[in-house]
Amino acid sequence: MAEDLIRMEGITKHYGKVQALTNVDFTVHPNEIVGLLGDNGAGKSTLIKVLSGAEPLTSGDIFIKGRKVTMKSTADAIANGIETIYQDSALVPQLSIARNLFLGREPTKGFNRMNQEAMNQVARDLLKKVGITKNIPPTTPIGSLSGGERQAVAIARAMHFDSDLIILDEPTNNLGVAETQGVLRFVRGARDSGHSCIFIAHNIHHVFQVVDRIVVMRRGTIAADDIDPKKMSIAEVEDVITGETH
Amino acid sequence: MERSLVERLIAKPELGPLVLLVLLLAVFTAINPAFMSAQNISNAFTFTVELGLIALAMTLLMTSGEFDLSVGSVFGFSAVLMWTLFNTGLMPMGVAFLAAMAMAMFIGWVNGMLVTKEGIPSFLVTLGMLLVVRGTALYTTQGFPQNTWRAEDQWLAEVLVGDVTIFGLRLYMSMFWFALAAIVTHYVLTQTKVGNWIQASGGNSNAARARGVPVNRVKIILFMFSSAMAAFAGIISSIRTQAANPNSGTGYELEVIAMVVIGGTVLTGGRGTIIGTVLGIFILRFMRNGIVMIGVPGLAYNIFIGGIILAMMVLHNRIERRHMTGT
Amino acid sequence: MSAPISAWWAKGWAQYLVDKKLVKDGDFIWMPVEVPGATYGVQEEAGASTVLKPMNITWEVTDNTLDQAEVINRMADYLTANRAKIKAIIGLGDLVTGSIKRVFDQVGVKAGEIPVVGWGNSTDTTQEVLNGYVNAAQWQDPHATSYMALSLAAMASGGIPPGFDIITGALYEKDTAGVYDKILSGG
Repeated sequence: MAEDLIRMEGITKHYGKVQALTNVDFTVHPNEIVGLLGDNGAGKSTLIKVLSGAEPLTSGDIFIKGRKVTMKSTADAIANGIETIYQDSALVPQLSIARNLFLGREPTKGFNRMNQEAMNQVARDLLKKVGITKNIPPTTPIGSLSGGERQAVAIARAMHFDSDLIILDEPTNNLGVAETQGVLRFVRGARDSGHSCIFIAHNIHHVFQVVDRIVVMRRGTIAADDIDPKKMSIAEVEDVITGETH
Repeated sequence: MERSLVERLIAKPELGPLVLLVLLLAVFTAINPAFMSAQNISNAFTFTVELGLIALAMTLLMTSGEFDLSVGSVFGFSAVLMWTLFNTGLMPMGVAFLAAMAMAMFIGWVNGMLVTKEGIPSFLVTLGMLLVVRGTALYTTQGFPQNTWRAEDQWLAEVLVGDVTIFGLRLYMSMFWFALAAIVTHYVLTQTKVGNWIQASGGNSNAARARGVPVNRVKIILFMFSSAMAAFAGIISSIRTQAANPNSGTGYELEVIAMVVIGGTVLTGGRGTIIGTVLGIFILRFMRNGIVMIGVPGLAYNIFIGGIILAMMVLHNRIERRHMTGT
Repeated sequence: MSAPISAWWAKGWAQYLVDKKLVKDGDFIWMPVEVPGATYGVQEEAGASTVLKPMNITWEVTDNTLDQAEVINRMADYLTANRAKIKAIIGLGDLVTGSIKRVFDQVGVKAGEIPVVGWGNSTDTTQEVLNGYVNAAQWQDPHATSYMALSLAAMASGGIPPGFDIITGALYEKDTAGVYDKILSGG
């Protein structure tokens, strides 16, 4: 088996007296889409926050490609190749697509001047690559894009800067059917070009359509971590999530 | 999705203020042709640039999502500080000028630190700073103005406010400083990496931070810049008017913010325009000047300004909504 | 005292303009003041009006704030707009009268082109009188004003009704302006 891309070992997280995660082990392999499922309060968000650098962990270790890392901020996580895409929050609505893509890493050409032609060109290519067929100029502000298009831009950005792992937190919330299909297509596209994804969604149908493997969390622990969506039904997975046994 | 030229033009935040300015000029000139005289234009320009310098810096600061209410007090305090240092013989004028600028930047740095590190809203921080700085100016001078007669024959005074007459237009050096500052700030905001960071800091600071943009440093530097420009303007004004009064600049902060928002910069950050601000500066100045020129009682001035601000806000709000929802 | 002291002075300023033949029937006078509605401004306007009304002379009071830059700014605007009709200026406050030179320079009015009278308790104004920008300015002695007022009060409380006015100031012109310039800059 190939080396794990991400390995989290014995992760524990307390918020004051509340224990949100207890001794969690979690792995992501290269080139796979992992669906992370669990009821509200099961610990999915906390696990993702720890992995994306948004929250410090109480104890445990995180390894990326076998190398132990500590991440103090989302910027740290991004530098380590882990990109988290929340609906809306990862982009600046007032800035154009191209400016968002390159935010923080703008190419310059003297006097701090951005190379806007190059930025626009890359943006155009990327939008095509993630499968946006509509002709959207790269100078369009993010604020005038649809929810699905925004996800596409965020995913395109992660792909362009070679993030190994793209975490998508509820990417299909509030999206219409066509838009959702678009996002799922972008996610598959990302995997096919060599990136791994963690896909979190309330809508279990969306998860089933796109993931290679399902991990279920319950009350701060891992309840199942190797569910093959081709071999298990949605109803069976729902039972795992709620912890009911038949 | 490709929009026509007309549609894109309408979506520009600068269009509203541009139309308003042209309208103002047309109406005032129609009523009193002297409005367009070289003499009047020269008058209108002198004071404009002093407030304008602050408005340019405030545009960048507001685009980053913060604003500074202490600029009016820094305007008064810095001039008093410089003249006190110079008049008491402590320093030659050039050094006193640098000392006053450094002090202003320190004030801006404190503002920035309190806003970014302590997380206190800039409204409260700079309101407090306004009182501290104004109080310091009043207390140290006991309310008395510093005389600035000795500015004559000083090279620095010439560089800052010397004047030339071109085609009957009396132009001060400060005009040149203003034009230079406008070009530089416009370039920074629209063309540079830093400009992108400023907009991102105001638009979505969490996203910007996640991309590695040093949001706090950007804001602190902009607070220092706005303070420095307020000091620069205050010193220019003190030399031109031959008075360094601890009370100067009272209320300028609101006039400056009005200029910036009329120009189309958003109070909540993320979107700013230097071209709009320059238009806003001229709108407020020509409005005031024009009202006097056509004989409306000066006391009615504020009614017009208030009305214009409200009208422009409605307009900008509609454009912003169109812009955001797309068409 | 028969009238508030400010009104008394302002009546003198208007009278000065008339006596020196600087204004005539039907002329227009500009009266800049710092803050509209401040007691001194209102009283001064009232005082001047007793002289001006009978002569059919009209006037306008404009506010100019207490901010030096703003004062110059507003006065220059007004002067530019109304230069042709302004036959004389009465400065209803120290700050406005003291700004006359800078306003004239800004607008391009030569010293003496438009007659000016008004408050003169500042070195700015004494200098303006010495240089011919202001024709006459009012000196009100700060010590004498308070001291004499106290004497009157003492008399009144001692049972002697003070039935007279005491003049504690003087309207000075170029020839005596040097005296007040020295007092004000010395101290």
